[in-house]
Amino acid sequence: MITLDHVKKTYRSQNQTVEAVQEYSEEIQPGEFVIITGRSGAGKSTLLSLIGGLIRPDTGRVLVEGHDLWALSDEERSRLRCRTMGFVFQFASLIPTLTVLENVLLPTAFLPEGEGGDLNRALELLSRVGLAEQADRLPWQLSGGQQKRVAVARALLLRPAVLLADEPTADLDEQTEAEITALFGEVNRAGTTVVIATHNTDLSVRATRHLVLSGGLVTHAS
Amino acid sequence: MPPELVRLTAWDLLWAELRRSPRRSLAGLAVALVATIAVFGTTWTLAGMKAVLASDMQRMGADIVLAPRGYQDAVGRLLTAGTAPAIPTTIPVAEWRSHLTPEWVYGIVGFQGWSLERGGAGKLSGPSASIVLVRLDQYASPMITRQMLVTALPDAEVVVAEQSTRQVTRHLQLLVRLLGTGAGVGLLGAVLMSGLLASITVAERRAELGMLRTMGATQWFLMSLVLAESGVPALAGGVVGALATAAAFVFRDGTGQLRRLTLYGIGSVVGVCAAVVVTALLPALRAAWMDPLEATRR
Repeated sequence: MITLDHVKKTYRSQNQTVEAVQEYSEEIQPGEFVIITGRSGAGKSTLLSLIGGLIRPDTGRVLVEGHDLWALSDEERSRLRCRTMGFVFQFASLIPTLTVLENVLLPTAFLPEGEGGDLNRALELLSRVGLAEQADRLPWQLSGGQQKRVAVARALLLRPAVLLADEPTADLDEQTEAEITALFGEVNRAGTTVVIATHNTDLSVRATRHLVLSGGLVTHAS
Repeated sequence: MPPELVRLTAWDLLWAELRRSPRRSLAGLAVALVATIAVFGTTWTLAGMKAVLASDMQRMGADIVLAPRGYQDAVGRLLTAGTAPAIPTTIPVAEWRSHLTPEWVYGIVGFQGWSLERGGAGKLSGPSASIVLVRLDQYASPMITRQMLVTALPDAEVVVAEQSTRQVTRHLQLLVRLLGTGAGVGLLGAVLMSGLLASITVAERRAELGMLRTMGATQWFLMSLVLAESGVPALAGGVVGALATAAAFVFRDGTGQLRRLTLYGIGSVVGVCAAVVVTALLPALRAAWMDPLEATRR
């Protein structure tokens, strides 16, 4: 379960102060499919970063599976992120000198000493995203859509309890967008909590909850 | 069937990043190589000069050197470099000594014949010597004694050791300044270049570094990765530079001071690598403290 408890985040620059997320409390139950929509600058990504423990809230607490993220040390928080969260971004950000399979196995670099990732699962995930034949290729040999699918496989390798995605379908053609969306649905049906920040309101069909943000404030929840 | 567990290591990531831009890695290596040669070469040369001057003055222990006419330069070389070309043993030591009565010349406490028949550093002579080493009382003035010696021994070339070495020291000062500037420029170049390379690397890879952070990389891990990307090529370049410099010194001088040379080499490599790593610290800190989600949006 993810709990946001009176969380608030403000960005300050020299001349202005932007309330990216105004004081907000929310509980996301395991297995939920949540989409966060809103205009650019509404605070979607900030809310996602707060849930993922990537930025520290000014006030309030963020609890993931009972752990108060900001009561943990950076090492503990990073380990929790490695074990329980998977991230998918607008850009795949694959490492160009590693093969597709190695890119999928990348999260294993952050597992504690003595632990490892399941090679068969990595191959199976590549198969699920239709890239089993490309396992030994380098990222530049794949199309943008294929790279995005590798990024999804990478995010799912360690069976995360929570999948967080920031604009995962931006810049994709319709077919790839449909494939990625279907994959998120599949992952969610398997029990993973999915939280997506997006402009794409088509995803709301699959969502169990739809949060609409405006000026850092959740204006509508359904 | 149990799952086959695999794990990428920090080394895999480091190697992947070093391979990504071979030119940049090579540039980092080359810069450290040049800086190490400059630092190692300079410090070793300076230490060598200092040691030669110190040991020769101490060994000779001469305040004034008497030589046959026409051998002033040879004596100068002996006093400053420790070796001299051959000088025939034509000085009758006892006879020259007999001219130095206390009424004419005072302040002399030692008088010793030295043979340079075969050149080099020379050795104690018999009754005939190539040169004569004169030691003075600590209160005697070498310049006043020189005037007295010129009068007492008109056939002798009278060389004041202090004067001779002072001239060399003046030349050395210029050389030291040039060498020091060379080493400084080399080190500064390495520092600026490596800082620039690290900044470019971090700026180009913001998205990837942010992605690694979301996967579970700690701030310390990201910082270490960036520092290692600068440090590893610097270490490789430093080691190659130190080996090349040491080989050049051994080949040129046939030095028997291998242990000391090794220490200077290691010191230079450590110094250059430390400078490189310290310069990469700022980009490394930037990588560790950036907002990962913001970074992934480029």
